Amino acid sequence: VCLIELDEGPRMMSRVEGVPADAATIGMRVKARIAEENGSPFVVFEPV
Amino acid sequence: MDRFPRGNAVFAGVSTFGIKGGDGLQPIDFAARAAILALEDAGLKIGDVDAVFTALPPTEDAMSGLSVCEYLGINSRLTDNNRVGGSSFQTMAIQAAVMLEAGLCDVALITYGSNQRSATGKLITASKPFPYESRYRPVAPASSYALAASRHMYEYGTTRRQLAEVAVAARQWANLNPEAFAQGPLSVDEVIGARVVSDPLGVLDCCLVTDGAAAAVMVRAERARDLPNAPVYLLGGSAATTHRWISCMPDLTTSATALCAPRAYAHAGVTPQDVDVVELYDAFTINTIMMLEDLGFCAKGEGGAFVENGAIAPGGRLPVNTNGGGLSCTHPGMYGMFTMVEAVRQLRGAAGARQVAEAEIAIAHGNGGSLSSQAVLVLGGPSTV
Repeated sequence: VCLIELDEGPRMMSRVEGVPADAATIGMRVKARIAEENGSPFVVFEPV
Repeated sequence: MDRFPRGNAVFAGVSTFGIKGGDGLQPIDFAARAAILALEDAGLKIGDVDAVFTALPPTEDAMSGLSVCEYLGINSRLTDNNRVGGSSFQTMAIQAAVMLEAGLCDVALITYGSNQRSATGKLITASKPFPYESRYRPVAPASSYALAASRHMYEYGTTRRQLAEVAVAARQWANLNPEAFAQGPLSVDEVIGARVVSDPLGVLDCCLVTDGAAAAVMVRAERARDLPNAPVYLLGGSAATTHRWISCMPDLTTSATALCAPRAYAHAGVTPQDVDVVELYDAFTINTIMMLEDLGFCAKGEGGAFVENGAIAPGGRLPVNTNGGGLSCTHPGMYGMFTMVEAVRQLRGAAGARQVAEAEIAIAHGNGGSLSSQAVLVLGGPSTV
């Protein structure tokens, strides 16, 4: 898990997907994507 | 400046019980036995108690204050069941001090017990998950502290070895405490090489899962003159809450201890340089580093360097968590009660092989939730009043 600081201000818990866990680093710019699990949508992030 | 009743309330009796296991006892049995032992230590009887403060594991009994009164047969003038987590007991001591000064009670009992290890083998969590976090499956509560640790490492260059030094120091103190649950040699490399729980924290960076109980009896200083043990004075106490869940923590590297510690020092009229022994809530190794900063023993960001080379271990420059802490002595779910008991034992000069020479001023710190609720007590020996 990670904490994502949004450009708009708030911070949220999420996951960075699309890279190995140890390649997701603090300070990296990421972009939101809507993922789905068991038919229910939620927000994850991917490297820009 | 607030008007804390400095030195008016004292710890007249303390106890610990069942840290190595309770043989089928329930949490209330643990808490009741600790209460009786603390009253014996104080030279008082159950019938003398007129205020009860407790917090049994919330999954066990959310109204545990009532249960403890019933079990012990106490007609309490005030029953409190604070639920700010592991710092509940510091908060209770602050309330008890104010009530004692106001004459609203004469003998306050604070007691806690848990059979966490023998009942479940896992850390008991206190509430249902937060949906905005649980969706991402954090390991509760380790991931919250792991996120704070990662941020501390990123901002200040704190290292994995420095975190491990905290666990090693705690173990070295535990090796001097016959009550401690985890004993034996422990190296920095073993801590770093242990199974990862939530990166960067491994299993030896996490507090123990034990049974255990502890209690304290507080009275006004004048009453303590007739009691068997030299009183330990409550010189100051303050609490602060900044958030509930880690994603809402204002600054991941600074806890609410930075808010309440200055208030507690001001009550006591002391500075960190005056403190002889520090008992702080080490739920995870990052806590010790962060709290030493927030308690004012070093600047923000320097906690990692501060703990290097055995500086907080026996023989080091600052004795920290002399019972072995939550990391190596005991952690039955809410450890804050044990920092108070160990601080009292140190100031009485009754800490055996782990006694800090000429200890006169001690900190007993509590942490609750996800670094959410912090509370700091300053305790003093006879020379401080």
